[in-house]
Amino acid sequence: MAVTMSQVLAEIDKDEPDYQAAAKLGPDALPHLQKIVEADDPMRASKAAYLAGLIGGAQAAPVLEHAAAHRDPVVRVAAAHAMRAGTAAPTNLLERLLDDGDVGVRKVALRAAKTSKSSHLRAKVSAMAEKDPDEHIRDVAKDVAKGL
Amino acid sequence: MSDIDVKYAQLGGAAGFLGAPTTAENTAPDGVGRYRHYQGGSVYWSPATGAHEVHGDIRGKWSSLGWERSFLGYPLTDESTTPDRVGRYNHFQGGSIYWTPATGAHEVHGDIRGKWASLGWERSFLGYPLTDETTTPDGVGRYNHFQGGSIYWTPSTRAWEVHGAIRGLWANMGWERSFLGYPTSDERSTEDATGRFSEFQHGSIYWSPATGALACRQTVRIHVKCLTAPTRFTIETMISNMRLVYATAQIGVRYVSFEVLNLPALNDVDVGACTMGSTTAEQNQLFGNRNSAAANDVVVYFVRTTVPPFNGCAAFPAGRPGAVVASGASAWTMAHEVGHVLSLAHVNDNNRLMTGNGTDNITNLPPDLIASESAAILASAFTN
Repeated sequence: MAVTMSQVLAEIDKDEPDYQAAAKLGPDALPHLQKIVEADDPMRASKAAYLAGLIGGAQAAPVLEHAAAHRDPVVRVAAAHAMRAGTAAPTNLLERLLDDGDVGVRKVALRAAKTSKSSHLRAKVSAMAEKDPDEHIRDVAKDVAKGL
Repeated sequence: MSDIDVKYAQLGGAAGFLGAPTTAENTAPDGVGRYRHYQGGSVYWSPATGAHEVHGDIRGKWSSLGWERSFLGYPLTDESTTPDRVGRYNHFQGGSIYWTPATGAHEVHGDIRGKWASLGWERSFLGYPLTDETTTPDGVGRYNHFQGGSIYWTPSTRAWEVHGAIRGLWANMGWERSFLGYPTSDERSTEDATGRFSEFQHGSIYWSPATGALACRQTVRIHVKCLTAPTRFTIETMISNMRLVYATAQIGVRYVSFEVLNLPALNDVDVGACTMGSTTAEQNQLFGNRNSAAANDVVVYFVRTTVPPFNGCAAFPAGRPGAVVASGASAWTMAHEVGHVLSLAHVNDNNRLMTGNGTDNITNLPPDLIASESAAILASAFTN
């Protein structure tokens, strides 16, 4: 049965969405999530980006691509956290978020990198542990690098 | 020529309103000063105050209180026209007597007079006194009623004004003998200026055009720690909305403190699954910042985002009651999250604050807190 925008909004407009339950809407929700990410409402867009990551699959990638490039760091933080959800988003998207100018985005992206098996990402995290301009990010990167 | 004679001459002598003397100049009964009575009033002198005239109803009031031997002592001024040009007054060493044709003459003194003065004397909303300072029926405090309200004082609470609908409700409840006790604040505007409230020893009264005056039996004390200010609604709006909806459940809100926290590492705070009783290392770290908050006070942390994205999250570490609110939260999220802190659960009803369907979807504003929710909040350890 087709998922409607109303069904999607009913899930993400909650103050504390139950993302696991919302993910059961499945891939049919992704076109709606794409529209929400593209619209001018960062709170909704951030929830939509994270939910897209949880739903996963190839169709989630463009939603996350858009969220990762969003002008509002609130949405990019959510995109970075969505990477942690085991999405099929390309590794280079997480790399891009690790290079983000916003400290919060980099922090959350680093934590998403914890589960990465990419040697390229491991090198990136190690480099951040040494060279990131923010002391807290260097600490987070060191912590993440230990587990990689 | 004595100072009393000089004052008499300055006021026009026998041709002035004082008219002819009716007594010689005498030593006052307290042995300190001197006085002379005239057909139209009196002139009193003391070394500390100089010579000043008193006459008419103000003199009558002073006389009834015991002249210079009363708490008022000697006059510090002649009878003067008030700045609003309606009334007359004399200041005395120990207070003042104010008179208008409509109100008669009444004394004000001490902290009550100080409060009235701080508000602007007769040009304040209180207008002129309608009573002398009087002992309250419970024998503990003192009050003056004024044309536009009252000032109540006790040794422990000091002097505060009450007026309008809030005063009306307090009066109907039994004044200081109601469960509220004495006022502990002047009437104040809510943070967004949509309502008014006065705090009392054992509660508060909230008023808004929509609700009228509501007595609040208990209070939740709120501290705000701001890492990032909300973007859709101001903190003031969120606090005011909380005052409104909680007042309908007889719960007062005391906004105790505001502090900016410069904690960029926690501005996007990991809240995990946001489950009550389970918190992340970042939540534990954030909620450790309770500067100035008492053990049962609720601290609301305004952050840029929660990770994952929620409007807010009310999971808090043991012994550190509080909630986080994200920058994109609704106008009702703060009240909703504090509701969780106070033990309320989600409901499937968009007329109610605790709707689980999103506080942006609330209908029939303001949202409701039903009787059982009110009872649960009153029973919470985090209200007092």
